[in-house]
Amino acid sequence: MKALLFICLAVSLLVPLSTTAANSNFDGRWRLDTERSSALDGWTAMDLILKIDGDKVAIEHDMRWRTTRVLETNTVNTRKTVSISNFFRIEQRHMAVYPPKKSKSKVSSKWLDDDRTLRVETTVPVEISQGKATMRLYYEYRLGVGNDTLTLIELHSTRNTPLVYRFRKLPSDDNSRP
Amino acid sequence: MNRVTKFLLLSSVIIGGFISPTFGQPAKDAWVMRFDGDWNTAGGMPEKAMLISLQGLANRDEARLYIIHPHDFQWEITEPLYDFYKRKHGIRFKEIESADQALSLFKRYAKGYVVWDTTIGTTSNVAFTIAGLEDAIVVTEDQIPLVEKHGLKPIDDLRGRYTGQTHTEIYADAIERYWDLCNRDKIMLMGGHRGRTMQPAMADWGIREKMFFHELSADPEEADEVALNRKLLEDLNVGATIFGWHPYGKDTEEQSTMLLSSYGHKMEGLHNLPNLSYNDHFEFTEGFKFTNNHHVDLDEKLVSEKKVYISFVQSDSIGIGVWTKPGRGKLPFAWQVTMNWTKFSPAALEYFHESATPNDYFIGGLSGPGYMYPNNIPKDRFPILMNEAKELMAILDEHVMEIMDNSVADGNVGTVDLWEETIDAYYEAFPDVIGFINGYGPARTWDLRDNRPMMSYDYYIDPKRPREEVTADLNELIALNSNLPYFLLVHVRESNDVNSLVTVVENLEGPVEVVPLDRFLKYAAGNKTYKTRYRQPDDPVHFKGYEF
Repeated sequence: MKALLFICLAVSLLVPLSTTAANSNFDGRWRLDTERSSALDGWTAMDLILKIDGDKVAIEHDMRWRTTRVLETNTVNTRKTVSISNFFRIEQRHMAVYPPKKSKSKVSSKWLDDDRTLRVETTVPVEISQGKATMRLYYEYRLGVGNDTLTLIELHSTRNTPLVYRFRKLPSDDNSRP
Repeated sequence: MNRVTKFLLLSSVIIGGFISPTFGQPAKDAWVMRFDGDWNTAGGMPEKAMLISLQGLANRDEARLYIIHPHDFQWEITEPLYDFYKRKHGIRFKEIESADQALSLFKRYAKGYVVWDTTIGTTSNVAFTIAGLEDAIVVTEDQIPLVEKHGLKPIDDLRGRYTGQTHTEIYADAIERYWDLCNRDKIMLMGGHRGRTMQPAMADWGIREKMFFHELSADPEEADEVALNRKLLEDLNVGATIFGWHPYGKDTEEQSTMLLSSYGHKMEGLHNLPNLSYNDHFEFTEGFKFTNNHHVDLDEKLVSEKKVYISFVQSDSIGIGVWTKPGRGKLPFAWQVTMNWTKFSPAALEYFHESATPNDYFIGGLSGPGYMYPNNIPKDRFPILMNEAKELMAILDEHVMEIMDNSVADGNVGTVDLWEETIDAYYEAFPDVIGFINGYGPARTWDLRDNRPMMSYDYYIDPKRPREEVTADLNELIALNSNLPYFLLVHVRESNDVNSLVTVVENLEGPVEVVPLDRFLKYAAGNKTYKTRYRQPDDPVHFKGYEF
């Protein structure tokens, strides 16, 4: 009995420990490597700031266009589907595809590949010249070997080619903005 | 007739034959200089500024001096237009090799020189103002020996006058000294590049026309400068034109254009548009008449198919960018003509017209008889300005008006749409157009009245965007707008080239047809698959404007 209890305790401790250890490498500010990424359109620079708090992952987008800055955060939950108001996607701003002024999107997310990949899926409403449409979005945030690079692969149900954004991690004391 | 009288008569015939043209015609003999691309203030800019000021004086009463810029200069047409002058106007140009030679030839048009302070770049603008008023050429300290060698005397010296002063203080002083003497129908916003590089290539025109030069900000954060800027705009005559361009880094194009539009004035850029002092002496060649490449009659109706109709437009002034790039003519393309060139650069318009291919189609704009933001034009000025635009469009045989209003946007952040009352005013002002197009980047103002659509751009092609991404973007728009026919209006920014767009079009998915803009509008009139929309009060606003 004691042995069984010990095993149970060990398993219950190991699971969160291993998850936390893997996930912690995502935490921090990641700067877009524009040379090695799909071209931003309309935006000139981007940082991702990832913050993990238990099952919640806050994905903050620090976007810049000239001197204009936009900060938008999607907070997902890797245990359950959540409803997010005005889900932010990295728009191609030279396309007449607009987010509605108010929207709710159901967003699911999951850790994959021994917690080295975060998958996020949702469907968002968009406004176009013909009225309203929807766009299914699929994201994978993949931690690179060495844990200092991050690759974001983005798929749209309406786009036959992926958008691939590559980031490098900034030192923890570097809070500079893009 | 005595010998003296004979001599005077003969002399006047000989001199008149060389210097003065046939009445009403520009001189057949002129000079040309070739500039390099060095506009560094510590390099080639001061000599260019001196020569451009000399050009403004030399060309004041006659077309004498033309300047050719390198092919990579923003205005790429100076060499083709030079060829046009030779070929169509019979101008015999002699090449000038040096500033020294230019001074020898044209110093008689200057009464002296004014020295600007190279440690304070903006004093060049004050010097340009003085140059126009006092017939001076603009020099730096280093150039004084050269101009004095040619016998020119100092008229003014700005060295030290403005040391330690802000732009507000400098221009307040300049306004106090010179503004009352300057042209009130035209003013020169000599902004654009600032600091280590300055490109005052339009200064010849400002000097010729005795304009006030400045680079005052339109950014409300710089309230003192805005106050001075507004004083100048208020003092201008009704319907005046602001030449030049807003100062980079001080304010934005959106702020600057919004401010001048709110006074009902017109903008004509850019600060580096060269040779207006020369071009303005010419008319269209005898018998020339604009005939646009129309593909539909004004009252024609077209029936669309279940297709994606695409139309390409370039609007960043026809003189820069795509026109001279490879491949023009391979796709139907609409070109927004700088309509005011009818008045002060007709040869350039004639050059574009004669070099147009059957696939090139000209349209009016931008928003009116100059660049302006219509949401901000005073209501009492709107019909007057649009009548002016209509007259220009009639001369240019144009049936489409292009509109743009980025007043509350910062490039692609913030709405660029038109209020419903603005749309009402356009439909009322232009009963004879086949339609309107709107935007610069994408926009979302759509309407259809009396078989005349108002269409906005669904896509803007950044010249730096990889072509495979452009293709993917367009394919995604086609996938999203799945109710055919889909009308996909594309704005092609300057310095794209048409060849690359041919490749893009080849890789589009679906039943795609690229059509000329007039056919596009007629198809869009016949089957309205787009939703009527105007600017909404709660649309995102980046720039909140001014408190008047």
